Amino acid sequence: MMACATGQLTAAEFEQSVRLFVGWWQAAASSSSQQLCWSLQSVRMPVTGQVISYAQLERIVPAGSSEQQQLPSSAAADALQALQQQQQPELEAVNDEAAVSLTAALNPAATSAAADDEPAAQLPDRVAAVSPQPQQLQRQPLHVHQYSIVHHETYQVPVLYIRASELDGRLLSLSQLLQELPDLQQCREPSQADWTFITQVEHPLLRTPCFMLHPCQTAARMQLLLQQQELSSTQAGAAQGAATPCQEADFQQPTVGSWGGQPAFTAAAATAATAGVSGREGRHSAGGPAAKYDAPVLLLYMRAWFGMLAGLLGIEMLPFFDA
Amino acid sequence: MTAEDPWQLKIPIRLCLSSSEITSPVDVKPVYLLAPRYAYLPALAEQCLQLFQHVLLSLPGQAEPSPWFEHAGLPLNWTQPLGVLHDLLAPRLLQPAPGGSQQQQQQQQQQQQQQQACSLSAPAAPWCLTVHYRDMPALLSNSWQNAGTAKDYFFSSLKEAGYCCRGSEGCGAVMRLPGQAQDELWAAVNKGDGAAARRITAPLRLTATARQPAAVATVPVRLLIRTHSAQCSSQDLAAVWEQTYSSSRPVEPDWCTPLAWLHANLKAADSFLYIVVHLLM
Repeated sequence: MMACATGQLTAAEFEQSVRLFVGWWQAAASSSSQQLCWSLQSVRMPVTGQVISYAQLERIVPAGSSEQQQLPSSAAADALQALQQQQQPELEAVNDEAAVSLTAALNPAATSAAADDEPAAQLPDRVAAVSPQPQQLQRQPLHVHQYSIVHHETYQVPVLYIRASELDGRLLSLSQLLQELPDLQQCREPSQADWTFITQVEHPLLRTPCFMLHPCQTAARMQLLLQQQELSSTQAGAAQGAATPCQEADFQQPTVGSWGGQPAFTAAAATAATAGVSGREGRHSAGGPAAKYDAPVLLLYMRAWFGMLAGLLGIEMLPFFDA
Repeated sequence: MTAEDPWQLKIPIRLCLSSSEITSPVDVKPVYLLAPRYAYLPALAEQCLQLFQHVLLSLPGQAEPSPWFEHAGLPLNWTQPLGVLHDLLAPRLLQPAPGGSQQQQQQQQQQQQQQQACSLSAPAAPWCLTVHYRDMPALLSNSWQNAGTAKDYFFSSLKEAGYCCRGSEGCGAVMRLPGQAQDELWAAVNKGDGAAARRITAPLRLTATARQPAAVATVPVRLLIRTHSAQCSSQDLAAVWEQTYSSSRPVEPDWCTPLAWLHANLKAADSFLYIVVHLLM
């Protein structure tokens, strides 16, 4: 398997890895206070007909605020449904499959002329009930964030794509996005331009404009992290090894031992996570679609990968321990 | 074919201003220009803004114009070089001409016509584009930022090509390019100045290199496959992106195929080899 040898994932390994990750997240979130949930989506490519899976998560954040509100995607669907019913009643109603319908609704043919204040004033009561500060939300315009975990063919690693828009579908600029997710700035090397860590690109599957976090150092970090897993199962000093010596860091962490804001991962969680890994035979076998998949390692890979990003996105990472 | 040839190739473009943008009672004549194949749309926008500015609607407090281009009703994505967009969109499907004069053989002739392969027309010259400065479609970006986003995407592509060619070292080399060199490279790309562009990118050594002695060098390739079906009108370009497969990935060239040679000599400004395939269904 490529994951442990090179820190990369083949397309087939990613398919399984993302399924395991979404399944684990949904099960773990149901028993915690985490309201944000990943869902598994798939797209059929034109011409080749190949079906590609990816993970998607939607949330609502107050416009321009770095205080993250952990509102679930259902609240996003509710808010959008209310907006649609009041502004464009001819659109289809948003169903529970928020990912698909939200994607379609966020690509209106014509940009809405609605001011930013209008969506906030038209929020349904259900959103206000979910929010911990309903009055603040009703006064403040909201933005919708849509995160996708997609396999990158060149870098052979998972990549995070961020699509941020207003409720009526108008896309946010990079400066607005960085204002709402200021921790992303930690990915930038000092004196380097924004494009070195985040770039506006076309989503490879949805074909819409979005922002991509550059993955060029992901493989090196994951390789180092997974190698540390083998060493840290008996050593408490795994925290020291968590910091990468790489200079051109995409996910540069502020301090040694703090990885994406989850210091629990480094020592204690590493022991438990590694203890949960079984079947080490064949981990270093040759990669390829026909290779034996080591499911616990694939799940560990995705959990570790997202664990690096969760803090940057202001998402509370679910504990790595199995109950 | 020498290495200079691709940079010297230009596309003749007939650029019209959208009628919704014109505020003067006099018709605005279209502009004819030659655009380098490796340039990007934002460069075109900046060039023609000077020509059309006098007739654009200007209101106090209005945001800066956000230009976007359209070909036969299809908004153009500014992430692809002009040459790639042209090669992908300009050719049209030619239906075999209906014929058959004798009724006895009419059925047989119809069968023969159906079996005749549809063909693609040569791209019409000049390539007709329409420029808009307002109401950018939602499927394009509405954060133009003075073509800065297109430049950022170009360097992101260059970095990805660097990773294909030389792994992390290639990536790092692109990221370490000084700011001034980045500006000069972007200007050279949009002017079609191949000599200046190669001078800046030569130290990056973006050629397919085997990273390990036993490994095979990979070539960065962007493949776009557009399907043409006789059942649907090829003039209906609105669905072209849904019918186009695009892939950006490293390809291990077989030593029998000249893929590495193609890349070395015909790669675009971002060091990707673009291959546009038209599939006739």
